[in-house]
Amino acid sequence: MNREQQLAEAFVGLTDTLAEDFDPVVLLDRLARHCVEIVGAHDVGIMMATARGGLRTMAVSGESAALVEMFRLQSGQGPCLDCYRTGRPVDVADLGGIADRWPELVPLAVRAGYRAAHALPLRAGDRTIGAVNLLLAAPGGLPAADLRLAQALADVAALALIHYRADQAGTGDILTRVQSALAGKAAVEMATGMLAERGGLDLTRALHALQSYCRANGLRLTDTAQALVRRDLDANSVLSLLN
Amino acid sequence: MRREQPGGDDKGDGASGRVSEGRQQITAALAAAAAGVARRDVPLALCRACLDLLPVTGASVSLTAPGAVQALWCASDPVAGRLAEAQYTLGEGPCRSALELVAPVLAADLTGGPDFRRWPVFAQQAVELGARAVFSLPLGTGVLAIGTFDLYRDSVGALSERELRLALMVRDALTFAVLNLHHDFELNPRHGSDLQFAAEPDGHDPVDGSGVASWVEAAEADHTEVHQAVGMVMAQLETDPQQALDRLRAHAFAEGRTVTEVARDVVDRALRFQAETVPDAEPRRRSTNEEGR
Repeated sequence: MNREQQLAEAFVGLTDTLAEDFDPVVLLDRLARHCVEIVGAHDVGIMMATARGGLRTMAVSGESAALVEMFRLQSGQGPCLDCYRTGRPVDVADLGGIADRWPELVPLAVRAGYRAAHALPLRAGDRTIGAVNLLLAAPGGLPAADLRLAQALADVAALALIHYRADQAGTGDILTRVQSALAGKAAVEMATGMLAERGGLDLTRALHALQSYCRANGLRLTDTAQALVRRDLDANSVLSLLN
Repeated sequence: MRREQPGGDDKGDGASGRVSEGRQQITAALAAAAAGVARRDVPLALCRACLDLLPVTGASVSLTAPGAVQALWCASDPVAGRLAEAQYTLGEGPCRSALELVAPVLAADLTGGPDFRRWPVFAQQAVELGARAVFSLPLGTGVLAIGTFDLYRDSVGALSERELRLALMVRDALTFAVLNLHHDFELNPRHGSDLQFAAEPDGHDPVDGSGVASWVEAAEADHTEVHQAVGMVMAQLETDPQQALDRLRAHAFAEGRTVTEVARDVVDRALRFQAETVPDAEPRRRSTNEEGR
């Protein structure tokens, strides 16, 4: 598939909020994947603002401990937080040269093999609801055209996330949508913990088990996670697919 | 005691550096409001306390059981109670949406515009009752709603970001208070779908305010590993998210650590929780002697 086709499919996939299986948690995972596969970032993480004023990791392109830890740190310092606070992109062409700007994050990022980073605002209407962090293995940063592309993907994903309708674009409504997505993410994490404990699995395998179960049965990830947490669905049903 | 950063790393100042200053005062105020009050009356005491903290006229707490409608637990004034009950009757309104979406639903102007169009019948009734704005926050740990905390004001206007954060802290304190009620829902066949709250022998015991403060801290630990740990503890104890988080909280509180740190131990499988062997009729003990290290 050439890039134009990839892009067309990506935009359709991100805006298809009417599809039966629309799920904010999955949407943001998809956005992270597009930023790696189409835009060319080495790794990507997406963070969203909570009603308490913090930033919460919603999607990460990889599962390495260093990457996960980097996004944990970014709720307190780093390009995502600066981008979220200003509503403007943050570009770091050389992570090696700015150790004192984010004293805990930069050494960890450099040790993990990242040399450059961009953070793009996740925008809904005139509000910033989070940030998309692109991490690169080589210094220098992405070309402007690729960053514009990543921003466009982020913009349509954010619009889809809040079900943009002219009549309902009140600030309260945006907050409700974002918080609802955060609740879905938390439910997925909780269900993952339940499955890990019940099945004696590590968390990565537990999440994969949940995702496979949803795919096999055509179910939404968030709904299934909430059913597990409510105990309307038995963990063993999900785990029985594992062999 | 170590302090949590809401949705942030314990060491960073989070996206809310300035809030954390006010946070300690708010938790202290909520703990003071709950201290020495009989357990069943704590939700009402917290509703009344929040009227001094927020620009609202009244507040109420409704509880819900799986498959049942909501029922009013307490209200700071008759209008707050009637607003909540109007929504159960109509089956529409912010508290209904808050339960479904597990997210705050904020209607700053019921006299017209989008909020009025979204719930036309409720909006009209609410305005007749004297409310101009209503805000509904789901009770629980942010994953499942076990009820709602509903606020109203008699003038049009939104809550500021700071006020919303404060309202969420009151919500967390209320979740803990409801958890402490240890109520049993029973459907009363005579009234169709009315919820009945079984009286409990120890519902009149006074509450220790420090529990409220440490629960608000715990509820703000909105990190991936905390949610994962809550899920693991749910499976270990065969319990719900609120009770599982409460066990993590109690353990952290007893050891002077943050809930995030304890959650990491659980996720790393360095700490397991075991069911307390306490008969149901006994008040909930704050056991701090979990084994498993």
